[in-house]
Amino acid sequence: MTTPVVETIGLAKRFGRKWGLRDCTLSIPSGKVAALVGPNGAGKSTLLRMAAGLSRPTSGVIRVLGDVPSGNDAPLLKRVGYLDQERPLYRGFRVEEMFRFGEGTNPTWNMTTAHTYIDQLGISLRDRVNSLSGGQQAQVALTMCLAKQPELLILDEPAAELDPVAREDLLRLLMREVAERGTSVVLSTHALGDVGSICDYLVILSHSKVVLHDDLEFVVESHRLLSASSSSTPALPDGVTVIDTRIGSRDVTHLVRLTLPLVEEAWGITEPTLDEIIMAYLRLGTDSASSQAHVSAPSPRGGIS
Amino acid sequence: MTWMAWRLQRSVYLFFVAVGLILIAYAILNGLHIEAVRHQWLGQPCHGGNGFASKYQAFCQAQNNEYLNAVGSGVYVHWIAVLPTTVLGLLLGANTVAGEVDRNTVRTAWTQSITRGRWFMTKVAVGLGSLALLAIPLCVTISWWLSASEWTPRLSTNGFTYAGWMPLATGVFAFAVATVVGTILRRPGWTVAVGAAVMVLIPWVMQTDVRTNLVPLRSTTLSVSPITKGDVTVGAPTGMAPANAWVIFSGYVPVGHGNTLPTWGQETPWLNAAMRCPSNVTSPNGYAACLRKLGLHDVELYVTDNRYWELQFLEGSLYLAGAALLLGASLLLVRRTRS
Amino acid sequence: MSEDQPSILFRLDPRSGVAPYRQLVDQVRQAVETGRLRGGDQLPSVREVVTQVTINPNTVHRAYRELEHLALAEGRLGLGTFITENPEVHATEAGNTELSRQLQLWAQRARTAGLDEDDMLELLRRILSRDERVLS
Repeated sequence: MTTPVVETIGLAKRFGRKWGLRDCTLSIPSGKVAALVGPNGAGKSTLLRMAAGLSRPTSGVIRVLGDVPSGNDAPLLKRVGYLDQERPLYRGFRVEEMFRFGEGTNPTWNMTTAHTYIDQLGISLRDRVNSLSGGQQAQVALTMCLAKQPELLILDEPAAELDPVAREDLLRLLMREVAERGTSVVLSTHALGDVGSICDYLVILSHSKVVLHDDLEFVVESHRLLSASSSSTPALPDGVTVIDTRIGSRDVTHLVRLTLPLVEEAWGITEPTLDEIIMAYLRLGTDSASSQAHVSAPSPRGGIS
Repeated sequence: MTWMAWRLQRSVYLFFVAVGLILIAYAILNGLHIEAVRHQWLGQPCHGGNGFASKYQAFCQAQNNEYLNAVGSGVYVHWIAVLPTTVLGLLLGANTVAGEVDRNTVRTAWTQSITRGRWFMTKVAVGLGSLALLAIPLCVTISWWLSASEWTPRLSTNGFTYAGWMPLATGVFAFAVATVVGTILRRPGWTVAVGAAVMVLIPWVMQTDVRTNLVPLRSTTLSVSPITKGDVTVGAPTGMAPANAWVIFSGYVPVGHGNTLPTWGQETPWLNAAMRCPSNVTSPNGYAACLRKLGLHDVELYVTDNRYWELQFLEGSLYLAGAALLLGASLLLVRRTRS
Repeated sequence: MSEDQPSILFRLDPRSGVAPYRQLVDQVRQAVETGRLRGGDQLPSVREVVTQVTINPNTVHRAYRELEHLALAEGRLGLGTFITENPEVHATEAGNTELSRQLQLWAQRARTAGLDEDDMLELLRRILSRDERVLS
């Protein structure tokens, strides 16, 4: 069993009186591209910044690559690349100066990689960073993470504010890195489209809590839509947990999570799309009437907090 | 990281180097000018011999004015070392931590493969090293100017704080103050404001309360020698402190008081008592007798000029020790802080 | 077949509701059916696929493994993945998929939880017997 890349136990962070993150317990295995999904303010950046060693938990434990993240642990800093949501680059610096900074502060820096990626993106080394577009700045910042050749990439909304072409470029760049070096990736996004094609591990945050964390493959396979007419609604089968319920004028649909193989006659069974699953979990934690979690089996193992 | 620390401060620093060069040129020209005018003034025909003949009166009056003007022009020159070093110290200190926290670049800096400690120490080393490089020529220039212009004795309050190596020491201290304040406040603008306030307050406290206690004082008792010319007898004071000494206290203390500086509470009643004596100019004997009866004598407490470098070393070291403490505290805070 | 041109150009529809790995598998199967891909043709390397399409490399690995299970392709160590000679394309997976896939995954999870085969069979037996009691 390899060390998880990110492991948290009861992690929480408070800012003044407001909780940025609460009861966060998860274990992201190595070798995956993990997506941290949730609306703005859900706690994604808070979690990622703690993973990068930039802030300390209020309570609970976090471990990255087996070590407690800290700004004073140079060996760990070497193995992790972090891309902040604001992509803070140094104003007035040229791209080549950012790279010189990277080279001087990272013993594993690969300047060839940095130059190659910049070339492919059509950015000149002599460009000043504040003359670049938002998307190009994000790419320069990502290149700095990649040139460091880390084992783990922690990326906060890497594709935000990018036009569709730039977004594809960036994600493809990332996937090439994963293909060639087996880098693990933990990225946060509030755009669901990224998740399906490039991620194989899913963490859903809603209202500062983790509501789901599991292999994407298992998530897709273990959820079903059960529908029946509202006039004669049968009993729910064993081994399902209702995540979300939609009550239409003529039928009722439950999005359920399976804990046992489903053999069912009375309900109509369809497979939900990944988006539908994610939306259902995002609604958990709100007070809307549509979210009722009925447990009709012993508590499911892992996966739901 | 060394290159990086330099690159981050490059524009501010080079600006101050340019300003410094201009100020040095100005000080040198001004000092030479004052020196020339003074030599002229102190030479023939206005001085040397017993006063000047009346036919040179207007000429010498004009020369006197020229001399006074020249000296007056130096009123801003004595700032040329201490002001740039303090301001640069504050600006560099504010940018050590606060500037980067405010712009969030610490999120980039603190996730590269160096520890926060190394990041901090490198920025501090480059900042202080470059500050010293700028301060040294400025200190040399102002010390030369002070002696060439004879604007004020080097041990005087103004002379001491603004020359010798004090500008370097206070610049380093300003850097440390701005660094630690910046680490706490996280905003460079406020940091410079608070730092500036501290850099007005601390040196003022140093020169009024601390400096006087750094070396032992000497005392000399003033006496009045009567001089009679014709039927007029006046008292001429003698026994004053040597020229260029720093006279810290001039007043009345009981005989046998010793060389400690009297407090305000002690000094006032003795002064009031002595003020009721007859004038030392018009009736010197009466004055002396009155003081004897009160058991007081007129003293000056002073520090001799040959103590100058000792005092510079002591006060400068206090600033440097303070800077080291503040920088140490800053380092501890940086290692702990969230970004 | 020239070295530069990939033998097949994959397309990924993230909104189709079909899992990405299955889309790749389906596209290969279709290419074999229509004769665009023949026995002995080399499938693009994982790296090549990742430049064609924005997809997780693990997904490509999974698709290729599935193709191997379906006997459509075979991996040759150090050389890559190739379409098998005389590939047989089975008709779309029969209706037993739903159940058998779920069971497969459940078995995986049970194994990770520490259950061995006997434990799993026992659990299954208990559930089945409970159902029978309910029904009878």
